[in-house]
Amino acid sequence: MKVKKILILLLVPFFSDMLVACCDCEEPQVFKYTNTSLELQHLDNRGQSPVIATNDIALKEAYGISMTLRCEKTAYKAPSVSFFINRSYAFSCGCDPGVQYHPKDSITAIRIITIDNFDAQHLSGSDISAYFKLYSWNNFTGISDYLAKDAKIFYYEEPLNITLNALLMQPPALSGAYRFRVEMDLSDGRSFIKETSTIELR
Amino acid sequence: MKPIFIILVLGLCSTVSMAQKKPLRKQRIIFSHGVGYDFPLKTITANPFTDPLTDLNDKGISIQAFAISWFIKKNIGLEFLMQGIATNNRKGRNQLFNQRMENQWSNQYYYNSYNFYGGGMSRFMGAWGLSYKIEKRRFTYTPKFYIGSVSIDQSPTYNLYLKERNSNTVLTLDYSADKSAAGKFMMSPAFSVVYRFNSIVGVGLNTSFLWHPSNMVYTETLTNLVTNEVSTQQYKYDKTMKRFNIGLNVSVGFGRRNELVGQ
Repeated sequence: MKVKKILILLLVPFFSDMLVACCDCEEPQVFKYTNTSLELQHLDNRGQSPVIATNDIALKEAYGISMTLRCEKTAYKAPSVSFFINRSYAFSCGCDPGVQYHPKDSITAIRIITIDNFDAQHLSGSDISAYFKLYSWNNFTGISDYLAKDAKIFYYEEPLNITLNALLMQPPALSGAYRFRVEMDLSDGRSFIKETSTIELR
Repeated sequence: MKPIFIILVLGLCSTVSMAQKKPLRKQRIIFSHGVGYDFPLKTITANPFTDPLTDLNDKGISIQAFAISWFIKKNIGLEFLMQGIATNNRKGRNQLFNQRMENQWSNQYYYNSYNFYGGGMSRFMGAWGLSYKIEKRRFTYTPKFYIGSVSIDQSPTYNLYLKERNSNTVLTLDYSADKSAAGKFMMSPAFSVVYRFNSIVGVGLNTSFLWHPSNMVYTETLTNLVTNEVSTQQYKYDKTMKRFNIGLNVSVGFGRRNELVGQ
């Protein structure tokens, strides 16, 4: 009788852990990623969707800048280890993805500066960010609205690049050669500053 | 299907031997199934883009799922009718819609058209009827009057992204129907002639004239995603729809042994 009681007492933690394991989601593996560099390309949006411009001439009404942020994995948070039994998905409806990449730093500001005189009000060095909108899947977002959103989280795959297509919504009155500078501030104090090559806007 | 076939065969076989000399029984309860053709007498239009979205003007094969007539007092009866109309023109309407969209927008915009048609019955009708039957030897003449409800397919919301050529401008174009009025009140005078092979089985010819209000509103919404400018336009279908249905059916009826036609 005593042996039975001891056996039951020994098995209680095992069964409790099994119960918790069955009713709980697996602890996700959380990685961190960081933005490492910025690349700029001209966009040609004459067609059905924007594509990278193949030459240095574009229609001013269908022009945009592609901003590609390179991302890299930096750190890994080990999942909590179960005492006896690994967490299973037996009762897991709507569990978070098992592998997640969270941002270590986020974008706090994007400024698009015209290097050449853009119009009468926006001479060389002026901020013309308000003339651009970020375009994705038939959805336009103002730069300030984009910054107000939560930073991108990647699930399962290694962090991919983040591409922002900024389309020029208010073209310059005059055709001509233009260059733009993009300044991107990050939450950790770093800034990416890049300039486009010269583009002939017609 | 099999029991109906057996009843039909038995009914037809017994016709010669039994029913030639003996008067037929008066039928108290009649079940019938049939097929027919349903078409509008006049089409109703409001807008070239919203017209193809609805089956309001469609014509097609009608399936009389079942009709039950119960003659409560002598020749006066009540009838319940369920009918489906397999309008086979959804694909055609879809093509017409896409063609009109292309003519309207394709010169200036890119867009991806998609199909809104699917298979199956698009329209159902359920009705109660008051009927009066006149039985003359093997023929039964029944004028009827139905009131009930008919469903109109107003199609799901149709929306398109229109990307302007040589420009960063994108528009959305939506057509949405007021779904609250999908079921329409209907009334319909009808007439049927049934030839009875025997006391139980008969075949009939039905005609009916159907009125129902169209009462539909489509809203067209054009939104400029860049400027967020929105323009809306409503297209109203408010005339009375007039349709005609002609069909054949097989009926199986039962009556009391002592109530005979001609007595």
